[in-house]
Amino acid sequence: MALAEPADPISGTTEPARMPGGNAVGRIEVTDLTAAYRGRPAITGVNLAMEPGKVTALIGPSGCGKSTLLRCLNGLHLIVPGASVTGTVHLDGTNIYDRGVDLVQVRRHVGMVFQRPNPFPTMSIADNVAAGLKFGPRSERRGRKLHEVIERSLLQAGLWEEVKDRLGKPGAGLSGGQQQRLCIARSLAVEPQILLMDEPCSALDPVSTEVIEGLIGALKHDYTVVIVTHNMQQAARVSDVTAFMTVSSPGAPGQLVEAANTQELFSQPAEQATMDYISGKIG
Amino acid sequence: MTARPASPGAGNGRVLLQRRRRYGDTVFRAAMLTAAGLVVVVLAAMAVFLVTQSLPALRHYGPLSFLGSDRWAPSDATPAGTSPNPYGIVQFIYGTVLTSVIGLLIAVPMSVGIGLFITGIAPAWLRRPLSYVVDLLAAIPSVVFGFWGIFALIPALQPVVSFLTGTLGKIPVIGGVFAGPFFGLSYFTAGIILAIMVLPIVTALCREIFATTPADEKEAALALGMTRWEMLRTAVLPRSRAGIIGASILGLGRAFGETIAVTMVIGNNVLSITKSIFSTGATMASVIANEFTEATEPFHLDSLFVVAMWLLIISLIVNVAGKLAVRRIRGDLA
Amino acid sequence: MATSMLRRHPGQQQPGYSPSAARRTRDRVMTIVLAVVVAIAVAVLVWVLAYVAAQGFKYLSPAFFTHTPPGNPASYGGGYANGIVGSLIIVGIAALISVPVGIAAAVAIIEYGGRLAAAASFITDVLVGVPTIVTGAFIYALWVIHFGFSGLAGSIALALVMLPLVIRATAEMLRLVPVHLREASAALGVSRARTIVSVVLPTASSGIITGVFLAVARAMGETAPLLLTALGDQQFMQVHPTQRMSTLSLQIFTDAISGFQAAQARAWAGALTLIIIVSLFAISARLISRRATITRS
Repeated sequence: MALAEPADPISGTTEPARMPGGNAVGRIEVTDLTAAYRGRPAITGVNLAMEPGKVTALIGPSGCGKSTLLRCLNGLHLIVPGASVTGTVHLDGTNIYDRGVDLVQVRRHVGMVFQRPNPFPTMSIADNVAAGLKFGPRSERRGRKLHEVIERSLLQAGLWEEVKDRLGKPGAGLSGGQQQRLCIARSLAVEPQILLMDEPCSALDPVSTEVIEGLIGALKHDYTVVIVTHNMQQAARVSDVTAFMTVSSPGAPGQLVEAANTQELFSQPAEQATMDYISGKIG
Repeated sequence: MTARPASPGAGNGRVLLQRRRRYGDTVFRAAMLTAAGLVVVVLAAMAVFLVTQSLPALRHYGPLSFLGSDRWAPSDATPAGTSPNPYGIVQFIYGTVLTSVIGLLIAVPMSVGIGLFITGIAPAWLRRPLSYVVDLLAAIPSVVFGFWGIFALIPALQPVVSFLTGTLGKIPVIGGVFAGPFFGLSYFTAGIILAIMVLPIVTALCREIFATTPADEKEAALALGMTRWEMLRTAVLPRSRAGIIGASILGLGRAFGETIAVTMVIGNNVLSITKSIFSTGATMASVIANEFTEATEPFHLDSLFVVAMWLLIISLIVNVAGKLAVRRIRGDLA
Repeated sequence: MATSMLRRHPGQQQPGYSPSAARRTRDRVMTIVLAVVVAIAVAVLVWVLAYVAAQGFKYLSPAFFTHTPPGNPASYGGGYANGIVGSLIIVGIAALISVPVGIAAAVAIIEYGGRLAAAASFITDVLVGVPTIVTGAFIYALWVIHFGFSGLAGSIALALVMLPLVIRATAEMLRLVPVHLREASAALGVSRARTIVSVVLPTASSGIITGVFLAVARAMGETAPLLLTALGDQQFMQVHPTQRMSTLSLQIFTDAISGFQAAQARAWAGALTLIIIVSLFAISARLISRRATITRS
């Protein structure tokens, strides 16, 4: 895929900025994370690192808290009244739950795609993709041409060819798989470093699923991808690292059992619980 | 050549560490909450202003004296005289309650019947149009109902009422309530118009309430061999009792507040309570509407504010009671 | 329905389960009774509309909309042009006041919550039940005493009548906006305020407009509060809201009880006009709510 280089809005150059000391961009480190709704913990004591350039899959039986963990990575968990978090989530060295950190800003770095595709119904395809930029802080719009951003994002999401002639049509008029790719494009348009995907294919047909899985494979070169899935085969197909979560008993908070390279986890898991889940004994 | 998006703190203009003072969010939130506060203030102000305007009369005659007399004779009022209170409001309360009760006695059974018909008997294709038609009654403005009441309803009522005064009016003891003569404008006429105006809302509520009867309870009744009417009577009605009462209370509240249609057909006899429902009378709303702009006597306007204050109080009580009763069945803004 | 298989057919041998003739008769009778009740309600509606239409059309003509009433109420001719214009102006201003405040209050109630918002929610329900004459008396005490009778006072009173209706309709629409749309917007890093303004409200917009139209239809028909605030200038066209203004409803009221046949004839035409205008708003409201949301590019 040929992509246009995004211009740096400050210096105007197209050179990608580099951090001193290497290319580590978009690394998430979760330390001792506990998330609760109105005092009742949903997940406890999670320790996990998600590396850039890799796809990390979160698997586990329903109710194990994998979606909750995902939502803790961009602070969306706290939107529910009464929700609380302890522990830290470091995004390239900055704890997003620090007092001084603005979670709205965090979400410019961490994009999210949801289980059911949810394009904004009153907006066209183009407006949907541009929504994050149009409704975001002015400073990020400077120097960017909306139609370039729209094209680039739709190309990255693999949707450009299908919609390039009807960018003005309503976003809701697309098929399920196309809508989900539209949502992916919308997230990519704000140029996050990390992309979170909460069971992105569970509401889609197999063909669309395959397309999106292929997309994930391409996206991981530029983004850190974390995907929650209840489909083990999907995890085996798309991810580099897999983390298995479970609950000790119904109603208990979810816990991270183990995380390892996907190949390893599925062939020789370290924990019995993982083995049970994979072989279908539980879940 | 693909380029990686720049990282936080790497000079792309996004800095994670600063807590951005979100002025926009704070201002917006404050504005929205101010609007909500305005709603509260409005009701409070209403109460305050009504009481303030009533105060001179309340102080001059004493608050309870208004409720102790049914004689409203502004021409008797003098700046100094304090007793007896020429502004007795009891007949207005009587008029408001009587006309509303007559209205409900007619409207509630009809609404229940219509509700049962729409939810239980009418074929599916007929339900929406029927509901729509009944709702249409609510769209007709009050002044139109009053106008129609004078020229269309009253002539049609004449023969009916003559019959009633001739029969019921002759019964000893209670005959006085139904005594003639009937000149058209009366509590009874106002009651009928209120029935028509209150019917849509009570019917709509009954419809909702009946529709919440679980289908399997209805099917169980039918499976036992009950006829459709028996099913409605045993499976739908009993569990809806609380809801019907709630709907009736709300209808009562609506009837209390109705002004123009009642004013046009009740005759505006403000002097005192008249015994027969076929005679002229007045309600709290109608006396305010009639006399407000010509209230020149001492304490006249202030006393009308006393009426308004009491009207507000009883309307609020009835409406809140009705809301609480119905809210358990359908959530409003809860 | 499965019960139709279970329902016993008359004649089937099931002693004790098959309804007797008496019960079947009662069922039939009650069905007829209920149908009659429905018919009565429909008949009343038709009676009112037909009567008003019959009386109104006798006198309705294009001149009715362009002329004001004659100086002598007993003479025929003239129209309610001043009342119609007055109604539109007063209700228009009332909408300008009540719609922004109403939408904002509903946003506070649904999107932000909290104790103030909960109180506002409860009080909105309470305000719906306040008699409109009392609202008029309130505005008289608040405004007319200091500034005199005027169209503006009438607008404020009508705004108070419309406000709870707008809040209710908006709140209901906001509640229908799915949570996942708000989440999607938040996940893009869009601030709360911007999410509400650019995502939630536009999604709810057609329903909100419907609610506003219905509130306007209601306000057009109001008379009582205007008796105490706008008072009405029966004869002359008045377009300045700071002066006394007449409305369609006020003119109908005054002429209906005037005792002059000519005035009453005008009132019938006015009543028909009022019903038509109210119907137009109500029908527009339904049409708007049926249309699919359109794209904005």
